[in-house]
Amino acid sequence: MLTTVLTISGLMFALGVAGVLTRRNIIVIFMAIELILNAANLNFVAFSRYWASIGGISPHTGEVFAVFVMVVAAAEAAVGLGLVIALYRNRGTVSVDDIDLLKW
Amino acid sequence: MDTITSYLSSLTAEHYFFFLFAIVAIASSLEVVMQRSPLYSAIALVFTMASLAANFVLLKAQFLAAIQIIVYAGAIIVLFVFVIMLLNVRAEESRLDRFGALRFIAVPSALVLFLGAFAAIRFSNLDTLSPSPASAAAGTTERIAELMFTKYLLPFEAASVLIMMAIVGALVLASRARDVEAEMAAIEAPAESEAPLPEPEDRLEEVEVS
Repeated sequence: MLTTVLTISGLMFALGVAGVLTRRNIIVIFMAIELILNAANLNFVAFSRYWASIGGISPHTGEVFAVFVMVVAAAEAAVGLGLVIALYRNRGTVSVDDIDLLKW
Repeated sequence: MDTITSYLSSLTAEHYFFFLFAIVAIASSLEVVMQRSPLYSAIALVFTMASLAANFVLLKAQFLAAIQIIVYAGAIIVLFVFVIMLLNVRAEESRLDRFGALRFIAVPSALVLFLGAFAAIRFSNLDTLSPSPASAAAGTTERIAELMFTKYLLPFEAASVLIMMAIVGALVLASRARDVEAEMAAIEAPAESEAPLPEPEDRLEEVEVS
């Protein structure tokens, strides 16, 4: 059962990576990053359910770390979308192909 | 055949629900990546988060399931939808086809990533782990708070500082930049920029009296 959960989380992670690599809309790229973070969260929760028998570590450690991942995801989304708004105001685009000032 | 039937009879309702929500999660995250309109991607992301929350409940993490719904579906996705609506991003999408070559590299590399992770999981001995004995208090707010405010107090404080910085940063980034020079010029020479008053006869209006 644990391996099933981990496989699903791995599939979701790979989908997020494929989204980051293929999409050109910066907002959709942020959504794919959220997918990646959620795959990591699913791993944390699964291990906190199944790895409790190892001594010295509380069984809820995984859940606490999942909460921290959510904090980081929320901060990332707020700052990232603020950047997108500022970028759109200055350049009039959200396509990562047109935002290439720092390229080369 | 016997192995299949014995496997199926070993499955409980928990397993069936788990597979149901897992399939929904995978299908909707595929939609997030594949949808052409960013708004439809955001809606598919809501489905992903909701089915993940259901899976959290099945993994005895009720508090996280509630937080998942409140923070992701309630706050982050709404923020995404706000920005999509605000910017009114129409389809970037006709230009996607220009990057066919890039896509042919990106999708296989994501596939290789998944296969590597799958092999690592498959050939591990993780399946020998059994779930920890379920107590009534597992996954509740109390248990998580107990850990978070004792052992992980410092990361908790760091997280609150991070949130604070993110709030300020988002406000600074998203607020309109002030044109300081124009404001200074308006303060120093307020009257000259104003248009002169129209002549009195221009302001009079002829009204026909019958």
